[in-house]
Amino acid sequence: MKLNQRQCFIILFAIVILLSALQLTVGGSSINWWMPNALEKDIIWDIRVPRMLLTWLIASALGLAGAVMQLLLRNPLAEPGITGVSGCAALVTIACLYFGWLPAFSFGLPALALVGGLLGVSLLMVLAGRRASPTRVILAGVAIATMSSAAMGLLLYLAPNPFAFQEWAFWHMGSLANKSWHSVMLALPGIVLAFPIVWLGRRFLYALTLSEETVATMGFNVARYRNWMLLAVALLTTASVVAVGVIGFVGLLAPHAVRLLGFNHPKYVLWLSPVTAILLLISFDTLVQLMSTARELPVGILAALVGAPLLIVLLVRERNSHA
Amino acid sequence: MLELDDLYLAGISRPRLQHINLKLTSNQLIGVIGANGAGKSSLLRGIAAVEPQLKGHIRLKHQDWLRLSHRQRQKYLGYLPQTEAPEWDIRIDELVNLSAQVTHSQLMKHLEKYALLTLKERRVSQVSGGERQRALLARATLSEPQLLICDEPVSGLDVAHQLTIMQQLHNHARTHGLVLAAIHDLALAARFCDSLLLMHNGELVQSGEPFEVLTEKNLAHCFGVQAEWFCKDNGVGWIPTPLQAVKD
Repeated sequence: MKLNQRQCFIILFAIVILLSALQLTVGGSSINWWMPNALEKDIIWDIRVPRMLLTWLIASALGLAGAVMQLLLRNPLAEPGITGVSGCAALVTIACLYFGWLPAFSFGLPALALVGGLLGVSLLMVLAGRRASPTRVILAGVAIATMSSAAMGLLLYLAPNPFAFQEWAFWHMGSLANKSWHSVMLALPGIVLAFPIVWLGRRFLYALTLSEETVATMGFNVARYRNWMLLAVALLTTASVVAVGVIGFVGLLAPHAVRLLGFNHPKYVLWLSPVTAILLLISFDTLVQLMSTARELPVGILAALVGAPLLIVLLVRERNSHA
Repeated sequence: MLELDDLYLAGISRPRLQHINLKLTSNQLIGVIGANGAGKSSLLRGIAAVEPQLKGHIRLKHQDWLRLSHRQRQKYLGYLPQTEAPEWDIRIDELVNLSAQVTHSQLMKHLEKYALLTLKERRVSQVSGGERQRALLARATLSEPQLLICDEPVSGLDVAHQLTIMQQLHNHARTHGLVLAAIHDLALAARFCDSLLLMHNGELVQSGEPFEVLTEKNLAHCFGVQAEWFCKDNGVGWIPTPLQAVKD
């Protein structure tokens, strides 16, 4: 039986709810869920619930950003992490935080990080060019990601705060550990703003099944719509980066998981990717918490361990299709 | 219906379009012919308003065509570019109704008109090149545009598909408005088009009925071939036939 978008959405959502419940139960300390004491209530309310909500927010942002980039660039390998957009947002965030250009975790931070995200997107467009081949996008992305990563390392090394450099792994690999409601509030505005922008531009993204030239004759001002979509990608990426650092590959994995489920229409890819991304990130985070290590493994490492092989498979497939 | 006034498009080594002036009336299939690089695509892209560098004026039904918004233009325009490879492996009915403009029954009627009903649930990768081109043409004509522009719609197709597509363009012109199509096959152009625009080096050399345009002199000058018209008495009519390349 072939499922339609709504049925698939409901099934995925049900799995997400179940996994979220599982995610709530794992953590450093065991909790009596029937009769929680005051401390346990604090753990649930101040640590586990924000972590769960943050996972939802970040994953949906990354999933949607990945899908938008793939539709917009007509490129199955485009994703904010690989293409260095997240790296640029993180670079600006780090510069602001560790050089005291803003009071720590000020709410002005997302706005400044947005500049970094936009810079990353623009750089990618300039370096790779529009409708560039997947290889060109990846090459340009690798260059941007490497530059931003090196600049991040340098900034943290030079930062006046002596412990700043130890934070490098957190920003570079992204982590959902030790998050509070504050992080949720940091991520929320960008995501709340970006979803309606993507919704309004959805028909443009579906139309990009055809060439930009044709889309321009279908009633769309391509340049204007493209800029709005890039702004949405920057908002989504920035929101996730300021809250949890750079988590790569989720934005790549989610749209491809949707395709693997047999949904090939851009409509499905666009709207099922956020739910699929939530499912993936919750699974990764639960797994990370279940691994009993002295220090919690950043979830970005697990995402990269799963995502990088997929990228290789996609590149090989791309190479074979051109052979 | 369509007036072109001093169209000019700059190119790298030479202008791609040079001072094109033209008036075209409705309900006609106009063939744009010329050798490779003659400016056929540039002219069609210019009229479709996808050449931002285009200079000059275009009026459609006395409206300043280039100053209309994208949405206003879309109400009149259907466009099929030279090469179109759908990025997503969607179904044929989804491809035809990509911009979701019509109801289900209207879509079915349109698919039937383009003989796509039996293919509607197949994916783009599961149909032949000719069937895909038919689906793309069906998409371009879904909103029944008064101005349909097709850049080499029959290139790379087998004879049967070429005839089908040309007949559909002809029908569209008769029922809905003006159709402009770049065509390489001179026999097809002569048989189906009401008039032809002959392009050479970005200039409009001549426009008129096929007999007036496809002269031996024009064919030698613009295509570099020696050609003759052959007549068949089976009702197909006269066919311009290139015989050999003209030596410099």
